[in-house]
Amino acid sequence: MEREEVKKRIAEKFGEKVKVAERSPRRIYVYAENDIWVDLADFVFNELDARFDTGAAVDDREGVEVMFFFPFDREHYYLTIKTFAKKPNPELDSISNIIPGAKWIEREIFEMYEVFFRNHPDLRPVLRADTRPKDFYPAKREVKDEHVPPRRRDDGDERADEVEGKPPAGQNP
Amino acid sequence: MVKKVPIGPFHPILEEPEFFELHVDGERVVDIDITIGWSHRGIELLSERKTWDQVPFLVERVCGICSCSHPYAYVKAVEDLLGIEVPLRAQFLRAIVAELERLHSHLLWTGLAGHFIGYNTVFMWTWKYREPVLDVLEATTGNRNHYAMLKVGGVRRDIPQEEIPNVLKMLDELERNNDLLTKAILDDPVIHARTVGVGIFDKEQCRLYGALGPTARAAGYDIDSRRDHPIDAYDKVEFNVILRENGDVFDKAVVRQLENFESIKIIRQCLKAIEDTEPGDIAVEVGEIPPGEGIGVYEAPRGEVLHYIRSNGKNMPMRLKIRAPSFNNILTNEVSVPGNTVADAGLITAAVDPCYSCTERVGVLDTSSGERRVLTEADLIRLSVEKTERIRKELEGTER
Amino acid sequence: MSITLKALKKSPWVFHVNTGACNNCDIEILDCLTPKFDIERFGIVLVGSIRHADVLLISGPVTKNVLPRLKRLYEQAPKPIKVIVVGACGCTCGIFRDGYNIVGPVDKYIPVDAYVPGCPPKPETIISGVVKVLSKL
Repeated sequence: MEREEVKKRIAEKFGEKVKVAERSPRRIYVYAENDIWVDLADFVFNELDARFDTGAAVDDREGVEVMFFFPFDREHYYLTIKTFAKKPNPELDSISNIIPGAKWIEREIFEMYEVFFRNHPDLRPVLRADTRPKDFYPAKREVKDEHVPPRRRDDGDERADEVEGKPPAGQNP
Repeated sequence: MVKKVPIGPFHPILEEPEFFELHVDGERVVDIDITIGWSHRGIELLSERKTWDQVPFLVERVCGICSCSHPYAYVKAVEDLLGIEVPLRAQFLRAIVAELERLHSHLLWTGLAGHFIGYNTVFMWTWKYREPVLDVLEATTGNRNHYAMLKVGGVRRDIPQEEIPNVLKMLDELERNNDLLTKAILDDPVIHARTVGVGIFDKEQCRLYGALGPTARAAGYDIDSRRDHPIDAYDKVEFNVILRENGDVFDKAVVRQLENFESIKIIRQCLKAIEDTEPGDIAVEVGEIPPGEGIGVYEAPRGEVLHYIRSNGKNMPMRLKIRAPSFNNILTNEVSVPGNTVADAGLITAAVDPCYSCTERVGVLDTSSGERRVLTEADLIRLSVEKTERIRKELEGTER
Repeated sequence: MSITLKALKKSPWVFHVNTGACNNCDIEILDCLTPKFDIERFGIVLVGSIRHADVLLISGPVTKNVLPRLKRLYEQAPKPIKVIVVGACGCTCGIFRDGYNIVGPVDKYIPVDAYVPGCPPKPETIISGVVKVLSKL
């Protein structure tokens, strides 16, 4: 389905709850609110007949931005649907009951960012099943001190401006 | 009575770890439970501490066999963010390295599948035919794998003009050898009996699970990122997309063999384009990366690789999301394995060409009595080879 | 030289394990079997079970998931066994050094007899490493 038609139909169906942004001729981004998340995914996958690709998440300090990619192969562009799950305790509805291929990517987003997907059939970590400490979510911006891996030094030198193993001020941690 | 049979984390025929637990009833598999993550090295988080130019060296080592795919998708994502085009000569150079890699990857898979069925000569031949491809890669880029050819804005090195005739000669010979191999596989009745109808994954399932690459094309699901989302030189060359209908292991093998011919065609066209032009610019200057986001897509030998990059204006990426095609394809095993026998389960899981290492023993756990029997890798291959021998005897018996 | 030692030198059996590597070193190890390099003419054979092995080839930086299995494999190996680490990741963790799931190079947990660095090392280097270890028996 062509780009203009797709943008029109999404705006018609969901109205105020979505904002459509076109960053380049081949990339369209749709920002949606949490409560219509599953309906939007269903609409794009089944009615507009896009292909399901994968998902991703970015931690923005106030919340976690979750997105899924739906390419339209015949028309050569990617449609990305995004939503924002607020902290603390970010939660979203799971789309894996409509799209079984989303099961593993939602498990990975849960494992890395602590986003809880409601109604997911089997929400457990996918990448580190038996060796992870229970409350360690590696990609979250707030990480407890005991989970930070130690900085390894081979040269044995102490840096003059380092205090007790903390990085010097003004450097990216 | 349902027993559980774990396979993994070191799979018998492949080199990467996955753990499959099969629930069997007699000889038939009833259900499968998949655990992954043995090779999880945290590359996405490591890339947040490297500068934009250092990241291609890191993502190259996501996978050793398709080591041009991940840097290619990454540089396309950054170039999508910036909105720039690379010079024409660099576009053809990128396509040449990428297609050479596809050749050696498909031949590698064919060899391993042959070894598992019990055709060790297929294994030895395909890996012997693969060596000239690696030699050409070494002569033109400097290394057999992990070429470090790609950077944001172009390529790092040019191919010397005097190497081009050698590459063309190698391609001619490879085409003859691949033809021999394809005919040997397509016509053999024992391979037919072992692989036709085994591990079927059909078109509707492909749509629901998001299957990619040869796994999807074998079922008739018509997707190929080189044609659908063309990047760089792929909209300037001609090639066909190979489709089959049934989605079983045989079709997956045929798709890979026939794709080799298409890759040879693409390389020849790109080499001709380079030969006709004078050596010129191979990269554009790239300054700071402004805030924004980009998606880069490339068709690796196993399927589509997707990289999503987000920048907040600093000199390191804020977020890099890497999705290897095997993440989608391995999940399809939960539909294609149940209903087949234990001897076939290893072959079906290998047919999606997973990009993870596996080698281990298979444990058979009898859930009612708690007794545990352990089969080694040699036993699993022996089960598979015995089935091949049985089929061969049956076919010979019916012919007489 | 005793008969066992002589037999050992003539045809060492090799077991290969991957502790979370990108796979490139493993393909180069398998490449040694193929007609171009052909280590089978030296009697070196890749076996499927650790209990039959004389030489253990390890590749990859050790990830947390694999560590208990690696230790168990080493305990089950018949001693004396020679351990060779292949690839930059096994020797020093390579480019993955600061990862949160990496617990250190192989020689933190297992005594190693030889290191074959490279990313990936060419098959000729791997064969040379194995031959050097065996000639020191």
